Amino acid sequence: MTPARCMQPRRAQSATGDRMPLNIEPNIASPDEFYEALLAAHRDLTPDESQRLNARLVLLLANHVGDLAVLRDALDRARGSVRNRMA
Amino acid sequence: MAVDYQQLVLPYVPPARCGDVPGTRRPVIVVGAGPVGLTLAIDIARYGTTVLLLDDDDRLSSGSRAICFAKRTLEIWDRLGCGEGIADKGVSWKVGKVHVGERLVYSFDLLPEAGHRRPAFVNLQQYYVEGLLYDHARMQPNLEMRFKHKVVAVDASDAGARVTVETPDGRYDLLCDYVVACDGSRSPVRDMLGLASRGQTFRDRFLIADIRMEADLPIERRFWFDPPFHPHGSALMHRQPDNVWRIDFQLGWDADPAAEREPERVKQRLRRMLGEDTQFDLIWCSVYTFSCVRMEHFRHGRVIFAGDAAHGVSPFGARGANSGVQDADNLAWKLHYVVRGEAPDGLLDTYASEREQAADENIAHSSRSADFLTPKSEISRVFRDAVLCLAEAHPFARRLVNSGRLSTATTLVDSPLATPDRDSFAGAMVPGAAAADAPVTVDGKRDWFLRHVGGRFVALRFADRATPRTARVRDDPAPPRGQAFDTLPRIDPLLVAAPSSDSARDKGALIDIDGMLAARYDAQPGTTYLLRPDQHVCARWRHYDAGALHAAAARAICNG
Repeated sequence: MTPARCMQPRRAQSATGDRMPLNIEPNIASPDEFYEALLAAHRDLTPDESQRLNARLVLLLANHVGDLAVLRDALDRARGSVRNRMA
Repeated sequence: MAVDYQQLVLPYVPPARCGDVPGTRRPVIVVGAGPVGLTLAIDIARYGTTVLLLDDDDRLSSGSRAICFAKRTLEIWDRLGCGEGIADKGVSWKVGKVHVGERLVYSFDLLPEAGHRRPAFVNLQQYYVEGLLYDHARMQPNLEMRFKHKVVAVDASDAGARVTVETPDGRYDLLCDYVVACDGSRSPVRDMLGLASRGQTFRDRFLIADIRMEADLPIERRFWFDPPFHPHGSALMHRQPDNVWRIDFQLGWDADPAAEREPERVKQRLRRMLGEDTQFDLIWCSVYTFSCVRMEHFRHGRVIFAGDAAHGVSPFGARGANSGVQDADNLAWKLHYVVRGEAPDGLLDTYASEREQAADENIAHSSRSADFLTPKSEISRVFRDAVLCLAEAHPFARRLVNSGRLSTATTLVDSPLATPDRDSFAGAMVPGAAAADAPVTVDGKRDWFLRHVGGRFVALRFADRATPRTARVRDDPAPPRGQAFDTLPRIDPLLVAAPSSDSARDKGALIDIDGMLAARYDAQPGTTYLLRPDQHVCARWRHYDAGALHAAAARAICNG
């Protein structure tokens, strides 16, 4: 069952209709360990501090990715999953 | 003795003594004698078209106002013959430093390479710029200036334009083909036509102060986020000539402009910044807000808008006066060709399209800077602060710090006047780009490339074996005729030769003494560029082709 606050993202499309280049296939070697580490990073933080952590994390990872088309695809998907409803 | 441009009263001549012959129709009237109007009027006059410049006042800029004049602006004034005086009087700089708190986190060099006549920027009070432009304008035989002649009505139709002027001695009317409004951000001409500039206003206030002090500080643009002397705000410091320093404090939207302008309060802020013991005189201050706005169309028939009248940006990129001077640079030659009947009226539409696009670019840069300086939402503040926090230890984040992206020449991408490349080229000199400078020698003397182009169409030809000893475009077979405008612009040839080549002995050839010209233009022997009168690239080829050159020139005056 899909949690109410997580809408399925709309398929991100480029202007030419091609699939954008964000890798959405499994790519994290140890997903459970990553998830644990993500939560651990936020442990004992206030919501305000967590927001600041997330902002820094986004910037650090965005720089690692580098490619603006990939970043735009990720931004579109993230926003879409917050705002768009499935038909 | 140096002229005190702050006190200079410009001459007022009553209308009865202006010598107007009733019924005379002038080609061009320019409204507003600020940096943009003066530049435009001088430029038009130097092409050989008579121009009348009207201003409602008889004083130059009050206060220093615009102070950062960019390399491209200086190059435009060089073309008009007055760049040297302005550059000499100004304080040159190219390095910007950004501090967060007490730490230097980022520094940028706006002109890291050698081989340019002009620096990235000079700082100079606007009244000096206007004064030096005014002195130059007075020497132009085709240019008449009238001060305290205020335009109060503009009645334009397809047939022509009537401008009503009010003076201390009454009103009178003038007829003309074109009116150019360079009358500033609150443009009265814009209001008279019922037009508006639209965009966004940023909810923030800034205090701007000029002080005189003896200080041995580096000549740089210095910017602080959240400095100890001004917590939670930003500050900016620039050096001007005459031991004058410009300091800018971000105050926030809730600041009371009248209270913040109180000299004692301003001095208190300055003492916190400069130290209690530093001696200084406060000579000018102001509180401002800013908007990023533009008119939807810069041309309305016979009335054309330029500079702040047409578009407005925040001051942090120095993109106001600098983009306005580029407007003038773009418009002057087009007006000249059109009023002389050498190009169709549609050429003026390309002023609008090219400079509207430039305005969009300037507004985009300016809005991004403003969003960084004045975050509009809680989350944008969180990201801004995250960038500043990461910047100290993470080089990537320094590139995200935006304290203003400073004005450079606009490349007129997608210009209808440019001929798309047919051949393969690398580098920045794409069709639409403003020509880059480089050192050359002419007849054995050191010189600069840009001194030899502009003011006319130039075919720049990098010599190869096939280049005749005197490469003359005009000797080439006549171009096809029969268009509505049966004239093609005159194209002057300009030969560039490598130092050791046979062509280097040709009189008048530019010798590419350091190879920088060929490098910057990605040129090989035979490479040919067509440059517009405003020094922008029209077209380029790997081999000289007279037919292609003429076709590109025809296209560049909307006659192709």
